Amino acid sequence: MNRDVSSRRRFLTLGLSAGAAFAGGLVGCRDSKKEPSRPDGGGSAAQEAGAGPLPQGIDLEKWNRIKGEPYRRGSFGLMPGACALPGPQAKRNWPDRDKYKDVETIPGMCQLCSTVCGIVGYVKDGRLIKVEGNPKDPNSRGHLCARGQAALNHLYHPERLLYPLKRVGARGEGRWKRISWDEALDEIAEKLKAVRQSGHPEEFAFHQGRQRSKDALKRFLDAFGTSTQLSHRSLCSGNRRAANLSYLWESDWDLNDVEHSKYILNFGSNAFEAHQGHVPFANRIQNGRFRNGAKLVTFDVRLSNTAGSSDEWFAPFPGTDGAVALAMGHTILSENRHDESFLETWTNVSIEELRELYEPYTADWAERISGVPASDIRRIAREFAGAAPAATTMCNRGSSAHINGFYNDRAINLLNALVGSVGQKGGWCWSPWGGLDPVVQTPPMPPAAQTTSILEDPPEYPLANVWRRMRVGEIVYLYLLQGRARLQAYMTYNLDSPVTWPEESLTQQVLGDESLIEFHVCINAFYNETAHFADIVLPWTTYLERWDLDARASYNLRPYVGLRTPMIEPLGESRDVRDFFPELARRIGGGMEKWYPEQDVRDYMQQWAAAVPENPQTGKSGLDRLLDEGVWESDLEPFYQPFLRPLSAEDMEGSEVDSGGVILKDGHGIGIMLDGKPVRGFKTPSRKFEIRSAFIHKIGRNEDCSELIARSGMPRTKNRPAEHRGHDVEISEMPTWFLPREMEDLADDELIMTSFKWNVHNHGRTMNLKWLAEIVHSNPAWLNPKTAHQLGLGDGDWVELTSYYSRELEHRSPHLKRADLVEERGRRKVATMRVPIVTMEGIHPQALAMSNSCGHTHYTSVAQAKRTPAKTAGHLVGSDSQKFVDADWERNMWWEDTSSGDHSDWTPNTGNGWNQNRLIPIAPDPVSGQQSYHDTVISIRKL
Amino acid sequence: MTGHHDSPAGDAEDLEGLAGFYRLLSRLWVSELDAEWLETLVDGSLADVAEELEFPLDGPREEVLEQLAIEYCGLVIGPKNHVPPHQSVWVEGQLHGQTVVSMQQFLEVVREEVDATMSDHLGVQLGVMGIIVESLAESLAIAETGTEKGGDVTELTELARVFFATHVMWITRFLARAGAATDSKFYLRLIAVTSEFLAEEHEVWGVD
Repeated sequence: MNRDVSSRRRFLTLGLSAGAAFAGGLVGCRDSKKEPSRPDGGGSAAQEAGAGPLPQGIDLEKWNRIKGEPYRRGSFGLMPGACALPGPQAKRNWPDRDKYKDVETIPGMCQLCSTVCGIVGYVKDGRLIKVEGNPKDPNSRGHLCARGQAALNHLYHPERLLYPLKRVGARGEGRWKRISWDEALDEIAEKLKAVRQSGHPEEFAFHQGRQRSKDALKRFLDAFGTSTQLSHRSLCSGNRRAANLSYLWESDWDLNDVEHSKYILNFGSNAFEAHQGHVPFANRIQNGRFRNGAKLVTFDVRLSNTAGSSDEWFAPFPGTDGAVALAMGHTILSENRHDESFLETWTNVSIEELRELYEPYTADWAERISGVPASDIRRIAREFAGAAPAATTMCNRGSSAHINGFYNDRAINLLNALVGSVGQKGGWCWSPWGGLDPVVQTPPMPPAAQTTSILEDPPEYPLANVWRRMRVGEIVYLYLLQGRARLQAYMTYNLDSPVTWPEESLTQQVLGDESLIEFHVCINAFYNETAHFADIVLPWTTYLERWDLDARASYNLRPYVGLRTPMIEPLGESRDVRDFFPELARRIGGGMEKWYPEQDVRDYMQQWAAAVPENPQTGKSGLDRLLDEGVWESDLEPFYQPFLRPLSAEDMEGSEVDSGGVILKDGHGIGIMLDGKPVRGFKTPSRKFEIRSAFIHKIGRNEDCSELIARSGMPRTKNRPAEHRGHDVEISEMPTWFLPREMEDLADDELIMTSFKWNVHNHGRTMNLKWLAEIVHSNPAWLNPKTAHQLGLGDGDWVELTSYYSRELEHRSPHLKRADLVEERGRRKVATMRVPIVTMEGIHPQALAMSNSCGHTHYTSVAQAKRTPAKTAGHLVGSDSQKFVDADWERNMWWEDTSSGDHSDWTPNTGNGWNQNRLIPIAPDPVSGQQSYHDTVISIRKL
Repeated sequence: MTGHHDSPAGDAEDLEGLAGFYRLLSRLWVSELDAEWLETLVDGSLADVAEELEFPLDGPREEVLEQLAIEYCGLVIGPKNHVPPHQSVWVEGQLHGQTVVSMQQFLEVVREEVDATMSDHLGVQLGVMGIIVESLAESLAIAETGTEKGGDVTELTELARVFFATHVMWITRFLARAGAATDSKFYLRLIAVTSEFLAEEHEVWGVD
C-alpha cells in the first residue's frame, strides 16, 4: 500500500492543532475514584487521583529491561505474563513449565452453586490463572466440580458488566447509558429515601437469587426498615425443610451420614449432579459405598447420573415417592422389623398408632400407584431395616417439588424413625449449625425490621414462615399482577427470575410494567433476563473478587468457618454490596449510616472473624488465620444422638418436670427425663421425634400454638400473624399421602413434565460459561421409546407441548385463580412450546423431562449460542474474524443453531435450548408454598 | 554528537502532530464525551479539527451529549451486542488476559497509571502511543540541535514500533467489527477516521 502523503499530512496538521489541548499524560480515562479529565488542564488520571506526580517522560531503562524476548520486533509476539487460559493456543504450548512459577495461592470459596466448596486460587501478575479445591475445607475436602473449574470463564467473561448503567427509553427496550457510581447511588438513595418517607418501607423489596452474604443484606434491609426480603427457597427446598422441621424443629436440613452407612435409600435426589450438598455429599456417598459396603437404591422418574450410578434404580410414577415410602413402612411394621425401643422411647406415638397409620399403605397399593413392583418395595424395606441403624434415606427436589411434596418427604423421613436410624452414626442425622460456626459473630446488627408484606409472608401458606423464613417466591409476580401488593422500589440481586421462576411470560410482564414495579435496580455480574427489565444495573463483583465468611451445614456434623476473599482486584468498576451498601446507607441517611461504622470491608471482616482461634503452628488467629488456610473447623464431637446428651446440674437448676417428663425452665422446654435422668431430647414440644405434629395441624388452622412453642424451647418458631386470619389450611398431623387429582385421568397424549439439573450447570447462571456450555447447552425433551412409539414419534422429531394448570390447586388454592388461562380439554391451558425430543429408556413412560438452565434470551452470547449478535453480522462479539485467534470462541461454538427457527433445518445438538419455565405454571404446595416443578400435566402433539 | 536524526514517522514537527492526533483519538475512544470536551470540539480549541474531520456534532448540546453517551454505551460497553474495546478479548477471548500484564509494563515505561481493566482499552493504547511518539518528537528535536539525545531516538523508535505492533495493530480489526455494529453517525465517522489513520500508521511503523 502506498502511503497517501496528502492524507497523512492532513492528520499531522490536525494533530498539531489538537496537541495543545492535551497537556500531560493520558486524558479521559474513566475511573470511579477519579474526577474526569478536562480538556487543556488534563493531567494523568493517577495524578488527579492524588497519587502524586509520576516522573515525566519515557523510562528507557525499564524499556531496555523488557524489550528483548518475549517482545519480537515488528510482529505480534508473545507477551509477558501468565499462561493463557486452556484452549487451542495454550494446548500448542502445553505443558507450560513456567505456568506456576511465582504464583500466589489465595484461599476462597466457590459460589457457582449453593454448596460453597473451599477453593484455592493461583494468582500471577494480578491475574487468576487456576482454581482448584482447598484440601483444608472439612466439608468439600479438596474436591471441586466442573462448575467450580469454570471459575475463570466466569471471572474473565468478555461480556461481564463493568460499569453502572441507566436505562434510556422504555423499560425492556434494551437501551442504556453508562453512569458513574455516584450518579447511580444518588438516584437509588433518592428513591429509597422517598419510599422510607412514604411510611411504607415494606414497599421496597429486595429479591435475591443465590446469596452468601446474608449479614450484609440483612444489615442493609433492617437498617432501612423493610422485611420484604424475597428469596428462591420455595423454588428449591421448602418442602424438604418443612418436613424435617415438623419432626425435629431445631433443624430444617437432614445431613444423611452416608459415609458411615450400610444402606442409602434415595428418593429423587440427584446428589451426584446437583444437590445443595453436591460434592461433599457425593464424595461421602461413594465412600460409604466403596469403603463401607453401603448399597445405594434410587427412586427417580428419570435415570439421572445418581440413579445410573446406583446399585438399583426404580422409576416411580411422578410424585409417588411418598406412597412407596409409606408402603415400605407398612412392610417394616407388619413384619416387625421396626426399632421398638426407639419408637416407644423417642417418638410421640405408640406402635399401635403407627400400625393403624400404615395399615392401608400396602406394597400392592403402592405398586398400583407408583408402578414399582410390590415385591421390590417389600425387599428393599427389609434390606433397609436390616442395615439399620446404619441406614438412611435421602431426598430432595425429586420428591419435594410436588403439590404433595410435603407429605412425600414426611413419609420418607419417617422410615428412619421406624428403623431407629435417627441421629445414629451412618443414619439420618442433622446438626443445629446450618451455616457458620456461631463462635464468629458479626459486628452489631440493627434490630430486625418489623414490617409485613404479603409478598414476603403470604397468608395462604401456613408452614412457609413459622419455623424459618422460607417465603413463597413463586407467587411474588402473580400477587403484584393481582394488585395484592405494591412495590415502589425493587432491588434484584444475582437473580434471573424470567428463566428460573415458573411462567416466564408472567414474570416478564410484571417486570416490564412500571405501574407494578416503579423502580428496579439490578445487581449482577452479567446482563441477563432480569437486568433487561431494570432501570439501573449495578455491576457486581464475582465471588473471586469479594469478601464473605461462609459455610454450609457440614457433613462432618460439626460447624466450621470458611473465608471468601478477593483473589484479584475487581474488574472494571464492579463492586460488592459490602462495599457500596455503606455508601448507599449514608446517602439515604435517617440513621441508616450508624450501622456502618467500619472503616472498610476488611475492617468489618476482621471484627467478624476475630473469634477464630489461633493456630498454634502458625501463631495466626482470626482473619489472618483464615487468609492463610481458608477455613477453620471446630473440634466439637459430631452431632450424633443429640437427644441422649445429658443435662447438667446447672441446666437443671430452677427447672421443673411435667407429667410427661418434659423438663421446663422459665416455661420453656430444655429436655426430658430418660430413665430418671435428664437429657436433652429433641427440640420439639414433646421433646421427642414428633410423628404426630399437633403444631402443624393447629398452625394450619391459625390456632394459638404459644404453649407448644414454649415447650419446644425454640423461640424462633412463631405463631402465624394476625394477617393470616381467614386463611386456614387443613394439614394432617400424621404422615399421609395423596395423588394430585390432575394425575388421575391422564389422556393418552398427556404426560407429566419433570425438570432436572445437569452436573455442569446451576439453574440460571452457568450457561454463559464456555467450558460448561460446550458440555451441555441444550435440552430437548426426554421421552420413553414406548411412549414415543405410541405417539408416532421418533428421535429428533419436533413436538408442540401444551401445559396445563393444576386441578388440585384450582380446588385447594382458589386465590391463585387465573382468568387469563383458557379452558381446554377440561384443563386450564398455561402455555405452549415447540421442542425436539430424544428418546431414551431412562425416563418413566408417562413422564417427559426437560432440563432447566437453557433457553436464555439476554444472557451473553455463549448462553444464547450466538456467534452472530444481531447487530454485528458475522461473528461472535470479541472474536477475531480474520485470524480466528481464539478458536474456542469462534469456530468451536459448534453448537450454534443456524436454522433461524426452521425446524427442518435444525440440527440435533445445536442451539441453546428452551426455557422449560415457559410451560411450568405457578404451583405452590398448599402447605409450605414449595413450587411444584415436577407435576405439570402437558399434552404432546407431533409437528 | 551531531548529524541527521530521523524516524520513519518523519521529523520532530511531524511527530508532534502525530502525537497530537493519537491523543485526540485516544480521548475520543477512551470514554464518552463530557460536556467540556463537547464544547471544546464544537466551539472550543478543537472546533476546526472536528470540522475538518467532519464529526457530526450538530444539535442542542444536551441532546448531543446524551445521544453520544447512549451510542458509546451501545457500541463498546454494552450490556449486550457490543464490541468489547479491550485487546484481551480480541486476542485471548477473555477480559484481563496476559495482554493486560504486557500493557502494565508499557504503562510503567511511559510512567502512567491506569486501572488494570482499562489498561488494554484501545483508548488507553492510542494514548500511550501518543506519549511515546511525543517523547520521540522531543528527542528528535533535541537531537536535531546536536545534543547527546541521538541514542534515545533509536530506542524510542524501536519502542514505538514494538508498541504499535503489540498493542495498536489489533485495533484495525476492532474497527472493522465496530463499523458493522453501530449506526451512530459520530462513531461511524470516528471509526472511519481512526481506520484511515491507522492504515497510514501501519505503513509507517513497518508492521507486517
